[in-house]
Amino acid sequence: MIKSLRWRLQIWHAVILAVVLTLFGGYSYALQWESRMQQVDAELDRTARRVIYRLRFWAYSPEFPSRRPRSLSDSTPPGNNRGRPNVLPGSAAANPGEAKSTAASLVNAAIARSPRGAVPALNGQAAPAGRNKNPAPSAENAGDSRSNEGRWRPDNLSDGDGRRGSRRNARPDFPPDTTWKYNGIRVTEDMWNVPEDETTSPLYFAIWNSQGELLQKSEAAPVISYPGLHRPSADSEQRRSQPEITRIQDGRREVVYAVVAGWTGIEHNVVVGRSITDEMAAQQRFLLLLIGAGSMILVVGMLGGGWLTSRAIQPITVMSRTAASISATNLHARIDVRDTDTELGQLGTVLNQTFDRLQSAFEQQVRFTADASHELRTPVSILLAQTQMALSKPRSDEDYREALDSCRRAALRMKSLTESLLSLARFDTADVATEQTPVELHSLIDDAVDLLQPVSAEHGVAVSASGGPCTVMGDANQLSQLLMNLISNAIRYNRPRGRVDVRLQREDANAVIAIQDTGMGIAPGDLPHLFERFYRIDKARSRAAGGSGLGLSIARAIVESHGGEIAVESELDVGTTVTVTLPCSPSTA
Amino acid sequence: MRILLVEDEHDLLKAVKRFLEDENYAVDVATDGEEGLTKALMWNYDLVVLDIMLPKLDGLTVLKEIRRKKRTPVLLLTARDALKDRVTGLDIGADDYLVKPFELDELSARIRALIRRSVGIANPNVEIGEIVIDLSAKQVRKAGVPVSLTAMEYSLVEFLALRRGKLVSRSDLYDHLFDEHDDSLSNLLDVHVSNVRRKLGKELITTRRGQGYLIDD
Repeated sequence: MIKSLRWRLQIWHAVILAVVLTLFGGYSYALQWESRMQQVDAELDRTARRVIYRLRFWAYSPEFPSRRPRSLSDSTPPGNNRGRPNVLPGSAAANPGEAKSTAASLVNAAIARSPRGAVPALNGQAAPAGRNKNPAPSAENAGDSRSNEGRWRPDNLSDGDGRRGSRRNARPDFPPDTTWKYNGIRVTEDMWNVPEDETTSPLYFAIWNSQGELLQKSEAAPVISYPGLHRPSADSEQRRSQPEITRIQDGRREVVYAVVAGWTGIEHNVVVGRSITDEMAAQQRFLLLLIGAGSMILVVGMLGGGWLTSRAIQPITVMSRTAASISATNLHARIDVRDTDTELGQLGTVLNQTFDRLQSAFEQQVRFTADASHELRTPVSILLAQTQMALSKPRSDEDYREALDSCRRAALRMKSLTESLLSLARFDTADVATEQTPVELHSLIDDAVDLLQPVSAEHGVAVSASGGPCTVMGDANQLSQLLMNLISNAIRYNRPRGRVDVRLQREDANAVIAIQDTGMGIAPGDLPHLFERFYRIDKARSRAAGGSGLGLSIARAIVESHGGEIAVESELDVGTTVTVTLPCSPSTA
Repeated sequence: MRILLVEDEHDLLKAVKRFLEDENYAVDVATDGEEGLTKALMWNYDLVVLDIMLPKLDGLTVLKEIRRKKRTPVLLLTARDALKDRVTGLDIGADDYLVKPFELDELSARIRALIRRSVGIANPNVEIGEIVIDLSAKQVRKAGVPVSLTAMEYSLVEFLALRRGKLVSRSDLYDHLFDEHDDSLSNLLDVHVSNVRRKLGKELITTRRGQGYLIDD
């Protein structure tokens, strides 16, 4: 059952479908995950850039406020330099290091100028990022275009060109920071990207110095070990912007940067991350969806494939049923071939041709058997009649002798018939290995003429043989039988005082034997059937002459097994010429 | 009863002829179709046994020709077992057929039946007064006692009994009781008739002088 074509097709279909679906599903899954992660990364990256910016900015020395902007012109908003001279010294007093205090004062200076500093919601705490949405609408309500700029939100930048231009000029770059939670970097919570929607997990960050000391981390940040990231590259451009590591840890997506803080040359590590459990859950749901959809497609595909398979196989079923119905008694059934262009149509045509050949071979066989049995009927009738007659009552010795004689003749006839049938059957089985020995045709002809001397004398026919020596490769016995057969035919079907000429010639690489008689000839209508088994022109006459109707069939079989040809030409009342062409042996050619 | 046997197999012909002669038939033979047709038309045979496959003229053609002129019963001998041959043979006028190889006993039984039917008698026992002629056993009983008759005497009685009430001429008797090679000496028939009268009773066979003989109803 499993080995049947239908099931193999089904199994292959299922395997291919499953592989395709798996690949496609896997690809979709990966793509989806990638896209989610890209979103998360973009979010993290935006925030990280801000933290890094602050980090770099913080590292500026207050001693060179006027020089710095030039070197940072490509990454620093143009409005920066305006705010720097107005540093508030008091706010920087708490900083432990000089550089840190400088940075803080710069930041505070910028914040002080910004109206954002007045927004109460940001004051006094490192509020979770999600809550920091509040200032934005309020600032916008106030109608001050500059208040938005500190938030650095991409959607704000996508406003009209004119507005953006004016914003750049007036940009303070730093949101107000009134709550220094740490004495270190002082990155305020509202500096990172504020998620738009409440359900998104909060971002967190952490900053380490090169000694692995945690300088600052947001409240939401879990315990993260120092990444220990170092940048060997001296290229300042690269140092600033490229995240070094993007990683997933314990359900959190984190980007790790190694940042050189400004001119101090101190390398800091910054980690910005957020929990991606939501994304993972969504991805899991997506996976389930993919599996479900894939299974559905597989099932539908299998059902459709099964339907298609049975449709495709249906003609085979019909064909096999027809073929099975063909038997010895019913050879006439044929496969219904409608569309010969299809493979199955071609198969059907080929099968039909085979059936045709089978039928004709079979019918020939049946006819042959009928003919053979018919040929046997007559001698058997004689045997039966003679024995019954002899046994019916006591007879004279003479009667018995006569009856036995008749029986013997009948038995001899059967013997010759069975021998003929047997030799034909041997030729029919193609594996008859013709013995290949050099045979001198001319001496064979002489022998045959000599042997047939009594017959020719009886019929009053003169037989002459002519021609030079000629040797062919073949079976001497068979060739002798062939010659005896043909010459005795020529003698028997001759007229009294007729002639038989046997000529042997060489034509190219062939030996040609022509046996010409002066008999009554053969009607043109009979010529095509001459070599058919049991074909007789005058049935009773040839039987009386002792022929079985197989002589010429055997002759042709012998000639063909020697790779030769046999042909008959005849003219009524003039005579018949049988021509046998046999390939000569190479040695004599 | 005189039978024509047309068969080209010499050995078969001899055996069948011999056998039928032993059964008290006068048997003529022909070895080809033409000869068979000529003889069948020339003489009034009681039956023709005809082989289908014959030289010169095949059996079916001979049968067709015979049927154009005569009602002689014909039994076909065929070597072919084909239904078509048998149907064709019967359709063109054969009365029966036998497929070779056949048993001689069956042949003679079919011949007896055909001859009986050809004269309109179905019962194989013909009763004439106290005389009973058993056609199958070829025996005559008088008052239940078997009477020993020679082959010719029996044939004479049988022939006349089968044509009861009909006058049978001397030439008819010669035609039917003797084969072609018998010397038909006229007085021979008279000897047979007187022998029969001696054995079976004077009144059985009536003589119509100058016309022939008959057995009365």
